Amino acid sequence: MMFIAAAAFTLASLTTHTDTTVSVRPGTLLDISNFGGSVAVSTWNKNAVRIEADHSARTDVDLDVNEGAFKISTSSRRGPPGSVDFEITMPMWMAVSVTGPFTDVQIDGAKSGIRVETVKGEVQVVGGAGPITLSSVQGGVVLQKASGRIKVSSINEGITLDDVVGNISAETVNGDVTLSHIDSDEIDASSVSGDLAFLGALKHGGQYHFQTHSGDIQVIVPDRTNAAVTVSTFNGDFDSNCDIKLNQMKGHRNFAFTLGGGGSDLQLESFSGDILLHKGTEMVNLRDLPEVKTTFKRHTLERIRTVEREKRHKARDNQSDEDKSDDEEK
Amino acid sequence: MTDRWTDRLSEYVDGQLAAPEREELEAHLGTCAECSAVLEGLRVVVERARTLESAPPADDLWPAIEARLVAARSEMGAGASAGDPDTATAPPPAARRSIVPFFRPAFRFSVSLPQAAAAALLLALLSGGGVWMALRHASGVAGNGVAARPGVTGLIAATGEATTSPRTSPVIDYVAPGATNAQYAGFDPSHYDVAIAELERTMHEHRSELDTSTVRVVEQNLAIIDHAIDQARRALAADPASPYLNGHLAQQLRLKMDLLRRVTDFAGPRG
Amino acid sequence: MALPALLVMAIGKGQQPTPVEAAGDVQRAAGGDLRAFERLYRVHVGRIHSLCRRMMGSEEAPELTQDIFVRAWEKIGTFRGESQFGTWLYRLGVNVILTRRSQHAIRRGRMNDDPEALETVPTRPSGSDHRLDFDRAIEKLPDGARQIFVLHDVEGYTHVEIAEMLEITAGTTKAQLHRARMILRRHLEGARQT
Repeated sequence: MMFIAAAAFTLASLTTHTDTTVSVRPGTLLDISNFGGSVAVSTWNKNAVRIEADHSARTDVDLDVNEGAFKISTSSRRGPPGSVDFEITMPMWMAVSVTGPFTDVQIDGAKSGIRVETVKGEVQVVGGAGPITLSSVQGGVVLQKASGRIKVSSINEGITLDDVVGNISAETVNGDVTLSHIDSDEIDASSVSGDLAFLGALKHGGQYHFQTHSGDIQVIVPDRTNAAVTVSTFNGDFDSNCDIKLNQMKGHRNFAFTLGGGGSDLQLESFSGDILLHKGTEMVNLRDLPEVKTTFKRHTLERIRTVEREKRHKARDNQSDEDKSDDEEK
Repeated sequence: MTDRWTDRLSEYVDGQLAAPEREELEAHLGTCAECSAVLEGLRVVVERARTLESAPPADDLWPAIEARLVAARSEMGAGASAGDPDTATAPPPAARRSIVPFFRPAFRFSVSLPQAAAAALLLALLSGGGVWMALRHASGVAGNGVAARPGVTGLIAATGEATTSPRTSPVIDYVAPGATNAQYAGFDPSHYDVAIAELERTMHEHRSELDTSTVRVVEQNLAIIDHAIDQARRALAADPASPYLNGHLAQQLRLKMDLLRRVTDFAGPRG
Repeated sequence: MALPALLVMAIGKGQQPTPVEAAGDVQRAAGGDLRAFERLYRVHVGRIHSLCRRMMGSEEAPELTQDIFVRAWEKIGTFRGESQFGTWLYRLGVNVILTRRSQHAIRRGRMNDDPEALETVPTRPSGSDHRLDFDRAIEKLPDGARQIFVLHDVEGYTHVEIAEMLEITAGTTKAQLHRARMILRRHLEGARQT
């Protein structure tokens, strides 16, 4: 284990597997930038960061430790860096940022802020407290067991949030947004062609805004929900098992009504998609509700992580298998 | 020759006629040889369709597909990780056919340094020296944060809102210059149109610098948004005073602008 | 192509033996094994290409097929095994085709319900071609009628589903389906007479 006050150095580039551990002072930020490959971050109780990386010989892993930030990046003497698979273990208190256009990102067990920006990568985060900003263009975003002010976005793929506390903004163009077990005062979820699904409680004074262009919206709330609801659609349908007394009606596709005593704001807008508002006596498993379409994704983050990790190990195993069988075929 | 029943025959074949009509048609069929013959012909068509078999394409498409998959991998790092057998370094299988005639132009397959440079620029933008900023409390957000919709969620995120946790680790966030919700508060479609046109021009100029699959995905999503804009506009034309439709169109235009900005941000240096 | 020992040949009812994917090929492909993915390609390309050809025509079919498999490779990590791989791949293919179709329509500025608008290619005369190939007859149908016929009669979707997929009304789908069937009926009977 090395303790570095302020230094920049390059790890040995002769081997394809790097493993080093660096001590860090509490309050340091972790800033990882990886051109392509994957970054998997997990946490421990030590005040140190362990970096394991698989990469080709011509790609260097660069570390830069300064007063406020510990920066990990990749480089190559010629051309862009090659693909690197990182497994990083950091202190739970550490805030972390991971960026990289072609990088898949997994973060597990963080108890501070998180930021992920990628273009083509998939983003999967369990944990996190404080500002959490996750974004991808071509990949999906999954966030679980987190709290704080949360902004997630994808362009082409879906967003899944489960067991999250805090204010939420979730935006995608082509993907679905699935929000379950959410405890929040403010939710803004939107998609253009994807579906939105929400399972959670509406809090007093909360503001909840769901909007799509052509996607469907399904909102499942507890039986004793108090909300002022406005529904707007151009040619979508509205369906509900709630007892509705209309407050106002602007054409038959724009209307407002109150559930219970009001006290929170729920806006449901879909230009051509269908809107479903369903009250349940308890938070049930959505699959048990027959009329709810199965747009809720069934994956759990645990399963994804296991599959992804197995993928990496298998890829490594298959390489040696391929080499052997190629030899046999000749 | 057709009579008034001819056009209903398909529905009859599919069992979609209600009982009274069905009985009427069946009675008619008893007396009309023409319709019976047509009905039989339709049944043959349906049966043939149901049992249609699949056949592979005349030319083997696998070489072209493999080339695209390998090229996509190469774009990630201009070369392979050590030991990856599936790159261009592996010997091609013996029975490789010649290229099918529907190849796309070469840019799809070449590993171009500009693409990598563009991506490197992206990284520079995101993580360049000195971009770490301390938390700014609610600086970029409307005072009544509750009603404000999040604005640009581009690659340079525009936040600055206070963290909810009492611990003050500095927030990892960037504040994009000038990117606040105020820009989108007033709805003036002409401003959007001009801005969008300019961004589209920039995007096309730098199109070749982007990863090809990204270009495809971005274009597909722009098409999705364009379709939504088109539908919203037409609905608005019939009901120009509708607050919902006005707001909805504004939202779609904003989304298009956001997406274009995201693309042009990482496509090349801003002019 | 050397087949792995695990590859099993299944014989359907009086059909050609069709290879099923080797056990574990999906997982291997998801792990980056291109050879495993190629095996999956061999198994499924027939159905995918036929769908592309019937829906979008012979000219676009090879490229569309490529696009679908490339996309499947990109997405195979998200395949959860909840359905057959073939079903998943097929649905992915339908989505790609529909997106391409709507892109064409957007470029032509036409995404409406007008039945006339669906006719982008006039029916070509059958000329002196006496050897009837049902598939070729389908290809000669006007675009809109053909796509609806393929989705309903060949692929088995319902009118409600088709209306949703193509963004038109179920009334239009029924009318176009009938039209397609009537044209094909004439083709079949024309062939019988020669």
